[in-house]
Amino acid sequence: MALTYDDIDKIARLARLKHTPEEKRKLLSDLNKILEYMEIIDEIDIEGIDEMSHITHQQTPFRDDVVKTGLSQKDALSNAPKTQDGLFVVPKIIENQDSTE
Amino acid sequence: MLSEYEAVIGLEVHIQLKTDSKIFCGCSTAFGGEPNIRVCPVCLGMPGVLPKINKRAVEFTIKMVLATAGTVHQESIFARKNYFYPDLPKGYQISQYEFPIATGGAVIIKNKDGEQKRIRLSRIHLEEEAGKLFHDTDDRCSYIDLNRCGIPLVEIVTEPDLRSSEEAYLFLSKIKQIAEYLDICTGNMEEGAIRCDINISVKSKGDKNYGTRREIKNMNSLKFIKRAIDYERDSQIQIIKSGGNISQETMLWDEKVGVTKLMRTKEESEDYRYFPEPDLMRLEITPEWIERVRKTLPELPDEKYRRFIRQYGIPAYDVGVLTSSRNLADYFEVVALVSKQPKLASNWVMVELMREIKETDISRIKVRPENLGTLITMIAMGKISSRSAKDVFAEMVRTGRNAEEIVKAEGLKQISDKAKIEKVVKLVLDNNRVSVRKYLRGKEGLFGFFFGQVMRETNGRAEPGLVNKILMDELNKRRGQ
Amino acid sequence: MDSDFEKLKAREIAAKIHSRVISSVEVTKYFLDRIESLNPEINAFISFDHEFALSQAKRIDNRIGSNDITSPLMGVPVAIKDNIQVSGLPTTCASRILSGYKAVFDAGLVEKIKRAGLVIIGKTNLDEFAMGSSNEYSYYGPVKNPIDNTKVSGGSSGGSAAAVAGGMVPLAIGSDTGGSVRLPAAFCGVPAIRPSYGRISRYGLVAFASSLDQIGPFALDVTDLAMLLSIVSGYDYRDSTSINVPIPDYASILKSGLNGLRVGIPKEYFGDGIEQTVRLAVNDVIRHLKNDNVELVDISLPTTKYSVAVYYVIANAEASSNLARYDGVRYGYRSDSIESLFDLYCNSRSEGFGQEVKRRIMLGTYVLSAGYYDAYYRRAMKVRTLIRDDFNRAFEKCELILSPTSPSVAFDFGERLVDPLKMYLSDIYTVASPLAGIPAMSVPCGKDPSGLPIGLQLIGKRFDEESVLQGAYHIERMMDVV
Repeated sequence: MALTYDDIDKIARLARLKHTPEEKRKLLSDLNKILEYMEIIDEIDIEGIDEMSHITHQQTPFRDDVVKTGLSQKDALSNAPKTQDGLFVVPKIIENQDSTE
Repeated sequence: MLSEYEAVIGLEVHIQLKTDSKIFCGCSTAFGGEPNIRVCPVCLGMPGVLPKINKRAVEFTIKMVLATAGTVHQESIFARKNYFYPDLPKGYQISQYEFPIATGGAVIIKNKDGEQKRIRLSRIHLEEEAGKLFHDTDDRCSYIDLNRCGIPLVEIVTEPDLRSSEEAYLFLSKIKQIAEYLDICTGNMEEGAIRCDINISVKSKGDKNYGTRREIKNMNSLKFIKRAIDYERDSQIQIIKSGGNISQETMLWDEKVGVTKLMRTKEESEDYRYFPEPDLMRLEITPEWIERVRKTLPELPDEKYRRFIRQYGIPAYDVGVLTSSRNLADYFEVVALVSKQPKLASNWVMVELMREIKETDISRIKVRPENLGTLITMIAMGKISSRSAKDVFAEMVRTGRNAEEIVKAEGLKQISDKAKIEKVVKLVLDNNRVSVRKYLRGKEGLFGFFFGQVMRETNGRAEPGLVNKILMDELNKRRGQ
Repeated sequence: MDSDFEKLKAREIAAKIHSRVISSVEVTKYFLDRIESLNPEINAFISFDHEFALSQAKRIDNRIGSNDITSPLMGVPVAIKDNIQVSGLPTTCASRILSGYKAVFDAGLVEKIKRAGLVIIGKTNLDEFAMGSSNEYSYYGPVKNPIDNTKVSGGSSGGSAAAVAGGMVPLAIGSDTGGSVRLPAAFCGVPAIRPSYGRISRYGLVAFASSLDQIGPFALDVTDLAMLLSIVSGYDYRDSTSINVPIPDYASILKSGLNGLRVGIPKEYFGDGIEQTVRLAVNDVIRHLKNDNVELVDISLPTTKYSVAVYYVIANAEASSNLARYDGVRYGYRSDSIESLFDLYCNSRSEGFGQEVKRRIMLGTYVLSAGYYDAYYRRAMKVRTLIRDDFNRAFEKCELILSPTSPSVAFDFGERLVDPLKMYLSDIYTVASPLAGIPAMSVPCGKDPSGLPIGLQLIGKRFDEESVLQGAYHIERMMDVV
């Protein structure tokens, strides 16, 4: 199941990353080498084994529905590269190009 | 032409929960005001933050599940839905995927003719709301307000059981009604408190197989939903009739133009890479907890409907209107019980009260239901005429004072004193001798004229039945003269 | 003031401060001077702030002056890995993408440190977003090993390990996802512990792989380490994975050593690929333990050979999601060349992240993507169950598991950069315990002929940090005698 350049492009798009042709070449070879190594887990019989998505089977603790003061607008925006009138600013969203939801 | 085909529709309905704080942090869920003032490191997705689930959000979800007869799972798991969009600070939405809080259940809808249809639900799960984007104010930039980000959302997914825009409309109205009865959502669609995605395909009637579906995203108005479905159904039928194929696409409704527009093709469709949210442990909902919640459930719309018909003996249509909202139903019930006149109460609530409140938002009306009940009692006991009652009611709407007080102060009490009315009747007949003669010669239509004159002289306060009787007697007396 | 504070243990410095022989301000100044002079070469710190440190020290001196002593290490400086938030200080994660970012809140652990009256002296270097085993993947340059500055410090908490080993600060905090505390501790010759998952709050620790990340302290010896662990451990309501269990006074139980504890020796940790010097040193310890009449048990952890693969599937999958928030919208680096939203994302992230981080995001994205989830991620989660079960079975026969921390001593710069897989295999002994959520630590157990430190790993049962520390204390004393 070796990756191709098309796969790299597809994954990069999902991950919102861009690569130069040089980076792509290296990436393809690195990833394929790593994935080949990972195939070691194919040899184990996992029939009927539970998936361990969390360390323990403990239940998640709850928070009471109580309002707490958060950040001021100033603090919320203090690390932002671009803001205007209390809003975060990004380049105009073009509906069918950028929409994912 | 359209009748050979029918639409097959499934909905994904999102309901904003009316908790005080957000789902994973303590920020307020209030609406409006300045942008980015109800935010904290958690809902802003700053580095190093962790979510902690709001217990009440889970409880509200359980209520919705119980109200729609679904199965609450003792164990469910939150999952990350990964995609990039500026309204989603973390780059993923915490939602549920393989193990939702609930599966199954159904909602009964009823069309104009009273026919019932059961719409099955496939699942109900809990997730977080995204922020709000503004695109239209500027040509080059979009703006982000994250106040809304993290409000709890319940997602209700139906089976493809709906067959028309009307049914979709009825289903959504029903969901809105149930959520309002449960008091878990403001129900305010203008504020986006209820939204839905529509999955729609068309097929020949009688065909067992479904066609390829398209999805219309993010609708938040009942009216637009109807239009969008009708448009999409017709356009899919056109495509099929002209020999084309429907491909699995995501559409957006353009209300200005009145068309659905392609948002993305199947090839462009997002791969959300769901996986279990490692920052939250599994969600446990014990049977005891479910039972505790069950005990807090209010009477639901369908039950209330049946009871009103049974208990108050009023027409089904009236009951449908009165139970459309829990507040209206509660209001009516107080009026009916205080007045002991359910039919009259129903008329007053449906005509006079609803005229005042226009919508079903009853909370702003100054007239207390027990006061309206008293007013209706006074009408029923003949203490006040219906006509005066309307004036009294107008005064109640204006000031919120109670009926008896207004009647006393304004002297609007009905005149039931026989001697007083006789005096007025005589006066009216004496002043209209010519008309009396004409009446006695057979022009009986003039009776109404005399009656009106009497009522005018008494400012509408004379008890109509008494006026009728005395007027008749007095005219008869004059027959022999 | 002519004491060489870098030669003293943290508790000794604290004792001098508490008895007013010296002030916290003086001690802090002393270590700030050490950092000033040593850091240009070692590069253990990404940032340190005189004013910030000294104003804390001043407040702490005042508290001590009114006998308000809240911990046995009060007044002692501590360094914090730069992926942990300290309000008002930059948090870079050694990444360009967080350049200019200033924390707006304190991590749960930082709150505890402040309450205990330790002086936060600066933020230490790391592999970008804690992804690495050598601390060469830092936007701020590699950390040099203070024992031999031609060698790597180990990663990803290389800055914290080097700062302590190099006498720049007596105590430091790191984080360990697959060995990031233990590996640099072994390479730099200091003890460090990665406690059980859930023991120390992750709130404020910048997530790399949420189901694996755990904060861990460094110190000059096991006693200081135990004291620091008691201070930073404990429940945090904001962390849903934090566990509310009592925190022992770890330092008080060290002296019983390995008394009554059975030590398991897993044969899979002594196979091929382990450097001769490391094998000899660890075997030497085992021989001494035998002489001490410690009960040694041969055990087997058959899933060991899968652990690196499982670890890198799970860690990178979680990382690909955890690092999605660095998008140039609300904070951090934003590319100048952006014409569309898509550009904003791609360019900011591609220019902001380093090669290794991007490689891992790609890998993680792939293993979660449609069609591959079952083959990689789901399968890895199942094998993870088997790895945990292996440990559970082993712990029926012993209380502690002993192994080398790393198959090698600190290596040369660049040696493993060309081959990411080779770098990943540096973690071969350290990745299994995080997958099981159990505590593990590295304690120095000798040196190779060129003087490079060798680390020995002890792995314990979940929430049994006591046994781990007792074992480490036993070995530490043994090494003193040897």
